[in-house]
Amino acid sequence: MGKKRRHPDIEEVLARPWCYYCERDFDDLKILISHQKAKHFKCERCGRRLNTAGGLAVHLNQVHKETLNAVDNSLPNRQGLEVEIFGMEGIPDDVRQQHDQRVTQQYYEALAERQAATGNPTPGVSGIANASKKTKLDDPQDLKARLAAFKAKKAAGATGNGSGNATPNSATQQLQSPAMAPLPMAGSPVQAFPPGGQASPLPPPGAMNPYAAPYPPPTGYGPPGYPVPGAAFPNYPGQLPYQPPYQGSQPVEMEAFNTAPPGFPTNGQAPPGAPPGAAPGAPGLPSRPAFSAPPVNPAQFQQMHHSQGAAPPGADGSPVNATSIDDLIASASKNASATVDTTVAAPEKKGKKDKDKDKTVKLLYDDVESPEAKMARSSRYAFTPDRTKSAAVA
Amino acid sequence: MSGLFGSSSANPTQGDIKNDVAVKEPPKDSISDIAFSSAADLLAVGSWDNAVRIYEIDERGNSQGKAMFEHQGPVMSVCWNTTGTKVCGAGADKAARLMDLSANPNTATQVAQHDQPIRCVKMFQNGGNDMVVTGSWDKTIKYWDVRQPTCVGTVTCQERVYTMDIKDQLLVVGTADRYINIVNLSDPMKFYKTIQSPLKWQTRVVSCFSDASGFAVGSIEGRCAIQYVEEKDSAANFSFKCHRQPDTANRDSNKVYSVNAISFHPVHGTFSTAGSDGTFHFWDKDAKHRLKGYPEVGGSITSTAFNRNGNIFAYAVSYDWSKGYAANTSTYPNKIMLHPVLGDECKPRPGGKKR
Repeated sequence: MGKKRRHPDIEEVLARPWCYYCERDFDDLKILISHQKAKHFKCERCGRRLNTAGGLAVHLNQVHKETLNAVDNSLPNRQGLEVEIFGMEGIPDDVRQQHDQRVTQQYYEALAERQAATGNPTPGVSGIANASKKTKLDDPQDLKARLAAFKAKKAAGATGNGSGNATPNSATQQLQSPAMAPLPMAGSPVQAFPPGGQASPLPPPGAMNPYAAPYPPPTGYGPPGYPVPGAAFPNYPGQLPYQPPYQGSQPVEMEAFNTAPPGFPTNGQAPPGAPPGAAPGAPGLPSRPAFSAPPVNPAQFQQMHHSQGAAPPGADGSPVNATSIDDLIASASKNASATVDTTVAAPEKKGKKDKDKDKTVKLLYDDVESPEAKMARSSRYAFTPDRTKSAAVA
Repeated sequence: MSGLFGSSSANPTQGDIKNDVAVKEPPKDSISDIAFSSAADLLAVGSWDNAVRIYEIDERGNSQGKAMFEHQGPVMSVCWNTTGTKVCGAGADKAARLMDLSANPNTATQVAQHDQPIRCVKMFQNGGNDMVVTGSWDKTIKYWDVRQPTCVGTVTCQERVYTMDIKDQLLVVGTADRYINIVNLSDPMKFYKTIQSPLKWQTRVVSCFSDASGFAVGSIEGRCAIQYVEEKDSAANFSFKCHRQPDTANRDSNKVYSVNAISFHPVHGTFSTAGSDGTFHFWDKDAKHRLKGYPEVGGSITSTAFNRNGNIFAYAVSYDWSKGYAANTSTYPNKIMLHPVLGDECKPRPGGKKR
């Protein structure tokens, strides 16, 4: 089939996902869910899209300390929070039935309307469909009109030769169903007439009707007998516009077509214009910030290294009796500069722990020793009681 | 805590600290521990400058020094007795010293002795007598009767004691290597239960629930666990992340800070966490809900305490060694702030337990 059918059948219509809150239907469940997230479950405070109304209520409550009373953008009778809707899940049965009923009703209404408009039969009945496709029930008035015309013609007296032969033929046609009409026409004497406008490559306006196309203007059917052309040829609607000055008008149209192409090259100029516009666009963007993932880290690391070298100055034998912090820092940084290159051990300090992911956490931390332990071990806080000199630093 | 959409005081989850007042004449060096008396608005402060100070705080948040005593080394823990009249400090001088505020302020007597610095000291009552329990880096906890100089009981732990808390008959001892020992003080000489910390990193702090049915654990890895003592309540155990700062440049990475202090509200049973990131938050463990967060206070928070009726939340801002030696500058803030607990800041969510 290839081409998408314009009018799906009732099963397809009923199977379409639809939104409980606004009764809109969608091609796909995914689209429905994203619709619900965007239209009905979106937090207006922060724009966060939640999965359900309950989720939004909890979010509002916890994050914004507000309560959700009604679902946004919903139909007046569907604003409640009691039902937990996610996509098509959670729709109460009665609502679903109502919806299905409504959709079915709409479907058949639309179908009937379409049928009335196009005269096409109900789709899906293939075998009989082809036959019945041609079945066209003329309304009684039309039939009566034709009958009246026929009678009028008969009453006017069948004078023409051709028409005299043809008249009974057409009379039977008129009384028959239109479906039968083309078939007798194929064998009708009209066919024998050389088609006057046949040479024209331009299809006649009636070309839609394959049977009508080859028909020449039926000269045999004299206008005198048929005062109303529409009534006279009800079976050849395509022929009605046939005009005698057929070929005369044609060249004019051809010229018109020929003049059209010169206009196209202007379109061809458009593409060259586009790229130049696009190309400078990219350089025009703000320059990407240099990728400096750990801008703090190097300094921090250095700090850590420094502190690592410096933290146990007492243990290293550096002056424990440093009198001021400045002295201590001076000696520490001296120590650090001496040891920083040789420091192999990972920095032990707790520090801020940058990590890539929660799962793969790498703490730059000595998990065994508490900060207080480190702090207490530093010479600054060394406990040097008078009685136990040896206990200065652990 | 500035969010993606900026921070504003209009946000109901964000508290403000503009009404917080500083304690006058704070210690000269980093503050290690603070504790409120159960009898009056008296705040005991232990500091790395070797001193224990007691401040008196009036209704308007004014503070003044009330008493003080010195250790021979940095003080790492302070506590009050249950009646709120005696202050005990302990620290790197391997001793715990007790001061009776009513009898002879400014003089303290040594009540405990360990082989290594004493990290934690707590007091409880046993038969009407004040008892002291000390946890030390010599891997023991010791019980002391304040009337006699010798230890009345020693319990050996697996590792160095890092943190302790006491509530009614519940004593929780957190050690290095993530051991947590639970002691029933009616049978103090043995561990009622020993567990590995529910958190995967070093235990920083333990704090008992107000109803003593369990405790909260804070770790160095920005995480806090709620742990019930009894197995029947274990379904209610959980842990949550806190004190982390998302990296503005890289959404996937966080700066993770240590949880330094957890304090339970004496009335509402809600609790605070405070960390090296310099923020504190109020939480409701039953609703699993953060009640309020507060902006950064300018430096690491090392210790927190609620006063006896829970209308003052005190937090100590000082250097906690979390960035090593080099960050310990003289410009680092060193102060104790008093946060008035107003309105329903610490009230649990109405409707009680959720989920």
